[in-house]
Amino acid sequence: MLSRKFVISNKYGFHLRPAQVMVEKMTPFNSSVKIKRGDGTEVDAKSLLGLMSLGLKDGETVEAVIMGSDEMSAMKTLKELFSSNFGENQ
Amino acid sequence: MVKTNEILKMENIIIGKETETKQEAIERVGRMLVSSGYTTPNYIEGMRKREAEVSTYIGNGIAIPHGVNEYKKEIISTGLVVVQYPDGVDFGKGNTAYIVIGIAGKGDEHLGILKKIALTVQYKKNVEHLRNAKTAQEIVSIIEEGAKE
Repeated sequence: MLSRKFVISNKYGFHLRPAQVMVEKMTPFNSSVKIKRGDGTEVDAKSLLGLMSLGLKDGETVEAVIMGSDEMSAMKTLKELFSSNFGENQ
Repeated sequence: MVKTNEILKMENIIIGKETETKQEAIERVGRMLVSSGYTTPNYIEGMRKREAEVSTYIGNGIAIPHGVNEYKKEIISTGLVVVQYPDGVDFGKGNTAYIVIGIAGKGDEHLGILKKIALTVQYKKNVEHLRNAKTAQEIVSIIEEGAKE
């Protein structure tokens, strides 16, 4: 199991587009990928409605918990997504 | 958090619209955003572009058309409009939207209501209620109550 904290750095919050990108990039992995909000609420990173239901704002910290055979490469992909701000121009 | 009825006004909810194409539905919610004073007419172009890039169908019978970031400057103030299609609108890839929600989000104040909508429509029974609602008030109540579950 791998876990790592990330800070949301999207001016308009973690809205639909970043969530769609996360679902698209995480779905191919066999590992389970969970995103946990500060208050402990946890959702499946492969569920668009789940991610949207967190209503994450710019500057919020989340924890990603990845578990499974390809967890290393899934975490690597997730790190790249966060460092590229999900491809959004700021 | 901003209350649902401050961003989503009763007069911006249309009940029982007959089915139409995805493009027509996007134009319709776009025109509603314009006539309510939330956006300039140019914003509709941004909505078309967004849909051409990636579908705004979010699952469970719901679509939330909105403009690409480059068109944010066309937003005058944050607002939502809702059109209910009991027979659905074909959003492609086998997806049918029964509720089409046009969004103009200026800052992040619309994330609260999006969160409520996402929480509500995770349950298929709530989607059925939204699809069968007979009044605008019912739509707002379903979203408010669904988010509490």
